[in-house]
Amino acid sequence: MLRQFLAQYLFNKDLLSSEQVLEILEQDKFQRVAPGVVALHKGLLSAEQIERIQKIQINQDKLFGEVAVSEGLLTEQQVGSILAAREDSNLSVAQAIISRGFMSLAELGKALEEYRDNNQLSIHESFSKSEFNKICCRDFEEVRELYVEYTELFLEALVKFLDIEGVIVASTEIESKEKWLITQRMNGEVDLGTGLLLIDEVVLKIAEQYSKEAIDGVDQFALDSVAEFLNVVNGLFVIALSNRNLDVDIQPQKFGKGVIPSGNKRVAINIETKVGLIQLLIASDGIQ
Amino acid sequence: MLEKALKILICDDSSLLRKKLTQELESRDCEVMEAKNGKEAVMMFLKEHPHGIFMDIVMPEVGGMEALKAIREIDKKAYVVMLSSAGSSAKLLESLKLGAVDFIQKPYTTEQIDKALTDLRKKVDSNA
Repeated sequence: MLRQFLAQYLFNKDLLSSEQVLEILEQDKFQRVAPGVVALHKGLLSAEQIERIQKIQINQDKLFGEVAVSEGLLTEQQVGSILAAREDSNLSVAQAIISRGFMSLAELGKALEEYRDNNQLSIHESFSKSEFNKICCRDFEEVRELYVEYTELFLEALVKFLDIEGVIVASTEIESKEKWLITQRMNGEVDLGTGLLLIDEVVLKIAEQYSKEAIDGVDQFALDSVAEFLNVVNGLFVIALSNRNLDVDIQPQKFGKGVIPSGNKRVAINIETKVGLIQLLIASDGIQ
Repeated sequence: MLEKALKILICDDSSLLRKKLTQELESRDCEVMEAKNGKEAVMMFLKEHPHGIFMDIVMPEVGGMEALKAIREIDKKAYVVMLSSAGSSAKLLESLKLGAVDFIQKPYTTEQIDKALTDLRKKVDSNA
């Protein structure tokens, strides 16, 4: 999730496009990270210092860490921590940005510095680009934290269960005419309705990813597969609430095509993915 | 001596789960039957007398808890394993109180199914 936060942050700041974010998240998961990128990410070295080390490296055929220590820029202990952190998956985002030339070392350094001060805000910030800012309702602030928490869990579940990375993009008007609406309600001490608004192709892709089966068209099995994915996400959310002593029940999922989604304090969060647009709906009661 | 095949009833409203779990159980030489909701599960239990049941909790019409209660009223020794995405401690306690022998959170793992089958096999063999 950390790598997703960083990627989302860079998108929110208009430093990367949604296409670039998805390219990085989807294709560079296991990229080996250069020690300079780790040092920049950890805030141990500036872009200028890294470029200086790299120039010396080329002339003297030495390792990055050796030069950094001999130049007095890093201690041996710091070099050790850099090498140990190279396997950290969220660093692959920074490495991919440099490798693909999306940003210069100096630009990335500046962005990372700002990100370190605001690193938990990327999902909150994304919401300001979504429908949240359109709703002028004082009560809405009461559910904001819950919606953000659910959205973070949903984005994690996309990666965990479907191997799909997502980036939250600006919201659009809800057009449900040709789309499937799959919903599920959780109620009890917390009341929450969640739903997915998807075109046929995205239903199929999600169903195939979740069921690990080839599916020809949107049939009962495909819809059941998407509904089961939503059910598992909501189950995890109910467990998280239960751990805070909040007793919540989960209701059977529903689905229909061309249904206009209802719901009190309902928001639509547009998530761009490699399989197409996923519209995640959240409301403070049932949807549909 | 050849082991008697375990007869298992799967009750879940999701065709995905029924298909996947059937494949898992048949690959372990179980005889599998399916029900789409709690009502069908109770009817099938009466008719087929399965050795064990994998029962979803959240289903339309008659849910898993209701069906568990009905089945345990019919047979106090019925071997029912509950399956649910919402594995909260309250749900776990409630199902155990109603007589379920185990609670598996979705998505289930092969190891959880293996353990449930091993326990069921022991129970069937001790009653033979």
